[in-house]
Amino acid sequence: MSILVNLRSRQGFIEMLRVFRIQRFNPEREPNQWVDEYTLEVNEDDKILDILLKIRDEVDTTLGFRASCAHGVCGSDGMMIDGLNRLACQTFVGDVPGRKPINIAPLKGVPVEKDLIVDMDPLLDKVKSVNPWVVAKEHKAGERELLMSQEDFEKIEDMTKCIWCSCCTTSCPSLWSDSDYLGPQALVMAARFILDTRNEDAEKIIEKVGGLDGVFRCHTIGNCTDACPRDIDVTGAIAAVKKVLLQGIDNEDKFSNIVWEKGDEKE
Amino acid sequence: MSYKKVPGTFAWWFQRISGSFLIILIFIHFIDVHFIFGVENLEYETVAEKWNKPFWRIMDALMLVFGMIHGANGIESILLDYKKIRKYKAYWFFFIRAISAVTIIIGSWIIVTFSPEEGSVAKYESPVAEMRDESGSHE
Repeated sequence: MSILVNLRSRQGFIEMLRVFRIQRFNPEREPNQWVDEYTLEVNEDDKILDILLKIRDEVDTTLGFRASCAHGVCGSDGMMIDGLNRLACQTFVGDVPGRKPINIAPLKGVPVEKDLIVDMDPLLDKVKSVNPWVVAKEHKAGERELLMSQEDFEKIEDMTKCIWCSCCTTSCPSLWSDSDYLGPQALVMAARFILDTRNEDAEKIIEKVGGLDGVFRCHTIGNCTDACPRDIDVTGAIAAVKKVLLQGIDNEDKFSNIVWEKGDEKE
Repeated sequence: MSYKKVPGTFAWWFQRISGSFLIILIFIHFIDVHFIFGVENLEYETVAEKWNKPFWRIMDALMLVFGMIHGANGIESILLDYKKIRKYKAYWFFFIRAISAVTIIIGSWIIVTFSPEEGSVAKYESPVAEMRDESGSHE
């Protein structure tokens, strides 16, 4: 299918014709995926999400995709654009240089439900499986809230930016070969809550990230770091988990004594 | 305290350590064989003479042990990436570890027991040397 649409024209912006090759899937209509081509007149600064919305509103109402906030915060419109996992709302037409067709496909490694919509449940279940929450230490008398020092926070600041878009996990070749692999997203969450000095249950997380489907299936390929729309050093966070497994948690005096005592008993 | 008991941690750590050792060992081996020793001198007599020094025997033994275990460990780690292979993990690991164990045993047995005095250094004629002599005579 190829349709030419006149979208709009603005002064001062380069207008051009670009071809969008969108991977489609509708199990009710056809068991296999197919590719639809849409030729649109676009500007360099048009967001891919705007184009998808235009296509859905004005060309092909059957196109399915997820989007919510359209400002790179909710993380629901992760998709593979020109071979890279990114958010449609943060990617511009100009980000795909030249005049070649822009390929848009759903995230890889997870079952596709319709067109660009994938089943996120297995990915989110993996994140949940590593206990990504703080189990608070007992309060000292007179202490009103749990504080952590600025230094400690700076260690995990990068990882707290995660928006759970799963762009990293679905770009990981280890996940493609082993669908049970925890994946970068879960490991970033694990690193974030292992290194969180307020967390009493860090050791439970450490036990969960080990094992055959755990952190050592990461071979520092680095696709996740390239894919991350929030520029988190994902591979670095996974390396931090490995370091913890090898050396223990290095901020001994700052860290909860309970965790350290437990570890010593174990050894 | 560390969590080396968590499965996979030790293998991952050993891979890094043996890898760094191998870089040093192979670099020394490469410099020695290619620049100091010379590839054209690589014959039975010269190697036997080199092995008179215990340093080179230890070097070669270390290279053998680290190389084989590093390689076997790496293959195991690759196999573990595949869920279908993982079902037969025990058989694969036995196979890989048996091969590397046999290689290490044979290799270190030669390194330990080799003695050029009792051997046939004098009697042994290197086919490479013969070939070179022939080609030299033709020239």
